[in-house]
Amino acid sequence: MTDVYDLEALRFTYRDTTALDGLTLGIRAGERVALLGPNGSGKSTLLRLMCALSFATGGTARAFGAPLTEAQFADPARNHAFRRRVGLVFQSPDVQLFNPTVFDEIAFGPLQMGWTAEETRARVEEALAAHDLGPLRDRPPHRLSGGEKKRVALASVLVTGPEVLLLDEPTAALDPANRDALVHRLGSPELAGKTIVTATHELDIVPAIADRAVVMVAGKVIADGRPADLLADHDLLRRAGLTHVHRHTHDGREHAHHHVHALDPGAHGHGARGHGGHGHGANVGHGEHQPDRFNHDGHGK
Amino acid sequence: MSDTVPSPSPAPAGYGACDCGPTGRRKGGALDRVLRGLGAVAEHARSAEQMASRRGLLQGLDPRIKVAGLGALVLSATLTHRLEILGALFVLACALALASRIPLWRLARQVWIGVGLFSGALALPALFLVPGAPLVAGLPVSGPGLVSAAFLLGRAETAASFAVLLVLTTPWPHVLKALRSLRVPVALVAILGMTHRYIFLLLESAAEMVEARRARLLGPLPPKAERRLVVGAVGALLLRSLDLAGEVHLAMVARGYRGEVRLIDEFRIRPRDWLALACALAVPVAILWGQA
Repeated sequence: MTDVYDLEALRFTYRDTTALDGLTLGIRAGERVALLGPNGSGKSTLLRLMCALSFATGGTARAFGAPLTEAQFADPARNHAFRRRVGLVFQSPDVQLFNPTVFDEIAFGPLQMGWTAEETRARVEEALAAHDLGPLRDRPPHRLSGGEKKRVALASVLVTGPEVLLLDEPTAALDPANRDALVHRLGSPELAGKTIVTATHELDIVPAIADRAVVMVAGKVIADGRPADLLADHDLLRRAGLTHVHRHTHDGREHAHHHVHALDPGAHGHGARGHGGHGHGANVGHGEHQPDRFNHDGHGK
Repeated sequence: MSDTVPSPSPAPAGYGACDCGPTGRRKGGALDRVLRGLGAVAEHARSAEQMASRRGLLQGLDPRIKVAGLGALVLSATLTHRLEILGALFVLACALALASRIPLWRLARQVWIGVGLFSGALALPALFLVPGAPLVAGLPVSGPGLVSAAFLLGRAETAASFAVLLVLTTPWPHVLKALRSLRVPVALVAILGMTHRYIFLLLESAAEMVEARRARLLGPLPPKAERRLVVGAVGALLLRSLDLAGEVHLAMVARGYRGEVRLIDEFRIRPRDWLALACALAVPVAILWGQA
């Protein structure tokens, strides 16, 4: 596999805030990577750097073997070629859906890429059908439900067939049914072979959407490995702020339980690629408080 | 430990208990007025969208034809020098509205009253300043002054009626595409489209902010404090809109935007569209010919 991204000692600061602090990461073609981390850990910033929407203030970043620098992207040809290969789905679909109708929204990318009207029409119709968006074709995106907006946002990026798909919190603010549908979509044959990098802090979807997990804290990578291994490491997850803390009082004392919101990754085998048998199913850890998933510590006062 | 809910602390001076429920709702407060205004705008937009999707004469025409045809009628209203033609055009606007299932009260409320008041105020001096014989002895209103005022008022009302008919009978996305088809600069069309798109998002944000602030009030605020809250909300909204603008730009860049928006047109013109356009274009031509 060839390297798609090669990020070395990456730093990014803005307004006295250090979002990335010496991050090093390599991503190969076809990998499905989950970026895990709490809010403010730098996941979204990293995705923006990987999409060349911002540029590192330190370290080196390369994509497809070429440097990711502002000077490089001043060249329209380089910019154009890169945009064809990399697509980013923003966390908030309201940011991404700015066209008057769903059709126009999906057609926006192809038209900016210089496709002809005929090519664009054909591809948009295919995308509408593939994402079950036909009935919404002429609707204004701002009138859609949250789940529909996410589907349109994903379709509007996938329509140009990018090799790399970057997803920023794709399941945020979705109800369980829409979340499952989106997770299922991310595992669909349409996306087979693509490099997919998903920023999330929802651990229960990780086995379904990634073969590799990268845990970030304060702009640094603190762990990198198979989702099965990382999700089983409660100490790591607690350090990364990825556990729920259940507090209660018993006998006048406060107890805190750190709870990992994910099932044993080895227990489910839905179509996972690569690293053995972790996948998703309807029963992936939606609040099943199994005793062996509790990591008791932190007894208060 | 007491199992009763403790009473809230007494309100500070000037922050009296609300006389209309626990949410602090009070008629006439600045926050309430803002909220009602935002709700009215959203409701207005929703009902306009519903009208545009009804079956009617204008709704059935190609949007480009509508833009060109109604534009020609607006031009006719500004070109004519005869009040009876202006009156006929106004009647035509009313007839088109009825044929398009737009209630006349909607035009009256949305156009005629506001435009009448505004252009009436502008036309008022003409009644007295345009020289001519007084219409009624003892009143300084001249006949030519009245005609001038009537022209100003009539042109404004008629032109605005045609313009609003276009908006009420055409989904906004189609208006934008029609403008683009008619070679209106793409940057202007894109700005109009995004303004329309994000105005609703910001309206929702504004309504939520006002609701959130009101939910945390124990009672009505003094008017000055309410105004300060509204001003603060406006400032927060401005910052939010600036952030949003930056994010949207990045989202566009990520999908290949390079400073020029490209759009796709999907309209088809049928024979009846050509007929409607011919009729609309005939009006200003006939007026010009008649006046020549």
